[in-house]
Amino acid sequence: MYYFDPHIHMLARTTDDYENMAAAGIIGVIEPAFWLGQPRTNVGSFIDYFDTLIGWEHFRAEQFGIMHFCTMGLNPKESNDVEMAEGVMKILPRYCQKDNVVGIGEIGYDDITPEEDRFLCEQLELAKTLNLPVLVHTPHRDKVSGTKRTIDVIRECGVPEHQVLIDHLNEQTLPLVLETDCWRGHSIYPNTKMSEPRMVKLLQEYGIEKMVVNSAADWGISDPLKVPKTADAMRESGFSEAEIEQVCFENPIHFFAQSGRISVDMVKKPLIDQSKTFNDNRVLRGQEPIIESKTDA
Amino acid sequence: MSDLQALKTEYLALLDSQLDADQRAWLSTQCRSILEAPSPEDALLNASAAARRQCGDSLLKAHASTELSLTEAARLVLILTACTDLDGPERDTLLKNFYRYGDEFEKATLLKNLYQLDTQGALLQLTLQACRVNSLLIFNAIALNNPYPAAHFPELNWNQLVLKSAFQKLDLNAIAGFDERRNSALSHMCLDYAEELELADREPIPSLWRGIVLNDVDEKGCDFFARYLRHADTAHRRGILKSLSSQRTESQQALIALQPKLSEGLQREDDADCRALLTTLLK
Repeated sequence: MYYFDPHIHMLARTTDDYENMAAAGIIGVIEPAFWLGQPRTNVGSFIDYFDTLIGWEHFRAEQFGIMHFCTMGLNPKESNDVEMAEGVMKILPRYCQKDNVVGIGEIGYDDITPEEDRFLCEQLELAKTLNLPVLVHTPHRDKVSGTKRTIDVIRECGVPEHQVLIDHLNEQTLPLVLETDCWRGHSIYPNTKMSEPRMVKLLQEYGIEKMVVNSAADWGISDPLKVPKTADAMRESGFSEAEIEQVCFENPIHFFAQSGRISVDMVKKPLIDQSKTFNDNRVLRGQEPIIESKTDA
Repeated sequence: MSDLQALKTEYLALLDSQLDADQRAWLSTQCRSILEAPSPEDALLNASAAARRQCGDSLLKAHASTELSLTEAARLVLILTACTDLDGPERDTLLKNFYRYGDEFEKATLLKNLYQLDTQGALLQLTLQACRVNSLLIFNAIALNNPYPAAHFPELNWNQLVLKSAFQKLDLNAIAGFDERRNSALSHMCLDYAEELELADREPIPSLWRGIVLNDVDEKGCDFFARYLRHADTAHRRGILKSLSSQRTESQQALIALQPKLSEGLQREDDADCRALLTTLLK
């Protein structure tokens, strides 16, 4: 079975991770734009980062047989630097039009400040204008209030709920989102927040419709294999292969297919050709390049 | 003499007895360079960058409140020197640029001392940004043993500082001005967080209970109190009882409702501190 991870920050991960992900059956990922771990200080940093998401990282993923898509957005933390945030909002529409960009995100709240409110609304409006789906991050702190406020803002802005995926949900916040038409994202981490057994319980209790799982793996302690591991946990609990495929492959792709730039038919394992370069840069360091042909696939 | 000059005199006197001769000479030379430089800001940044190699990380002895190292105290003297003859806006710009161009340790030095350097809260936005970083060095500098947040943070940001401290498993008892800034929204956030942790088979830190407003506690909150009053870890029992004790005057009705659980607690409690707190609460 193949898997799809719709929320993973591959820029922070190593080539070992790509190899392990490919070996585990992950053939596609979506990398949302986010922050770096410390504040960016100028719009140029965003431009370089956005270019990397659609450039080098897209190339790097393919070198290991994984399709790479991304979402573009101004993250909630950096919304609080208003001058810079206004600069980012000027360049964001252009980046949202790029080929491998399948949505706006990850946006939402961090501290739930008025500034975060403003730029969340502006990006929801942009999503409406460009008819793109939106990946919304619920805050890691004050989750319940943040999720309630998120739902309120989505309704106030008038973006269609089915075009919004609210992520990082848990037992406290999923019931709130189930009262909407939004999609339901869950980030599975080692040791914290949400685990495979807890996720299986949620799927057993609430069903698999519009349910999405991801690893949200980034530069912190996280595991890029959490989607296949969740699939294993579902299997052990008696879910059918069709149900597992729906949650761990089809659902995320169907959600982002609302962009018109990705579909289940389109997501296939790319043939690896490590003889290629990206601006004369390659992932190899003296190794023999792997070059797959259609007969290998 | 201005307040900042008096502050500089105070710290110079402290450092004078604790730096060795070479270190004192270095500091004196740097202060002179800053005063004579066409750009005091540049001279400050250059001197500050070298300060840790010169002064080291030993603690400054006999300082009243925030713990500072010799380097941090020396950097404070350098900053105060650069602030000489600057008006309010010029000083604010200097401090912001010191933060902007400083490394983590320099940023931490500034944050620890802002309560003395910025009594009006002009640099509030800078401190709010500091709360958003992932660096514990920087976050601890603003969150712990620092009067600045209690004096200047709006409630929303104060609550987020407390919650983030809990996330980082810091001791909330080290947050200055905590009891005075406790509020209902924070209380709900703390209880929601405790519930979230239990869903993940983890426990809150014992000092989290300090954030609970007793008068706002609902059935869920009472259930937490009851369970953690019976907790095997004394730190949790003590945490709850200290929180209740600090709210005794304004929460008498709520305490009356808790009397049965407190009485049960006293019967089985064997820790002396907890017994003393329970006895007081039951009076």
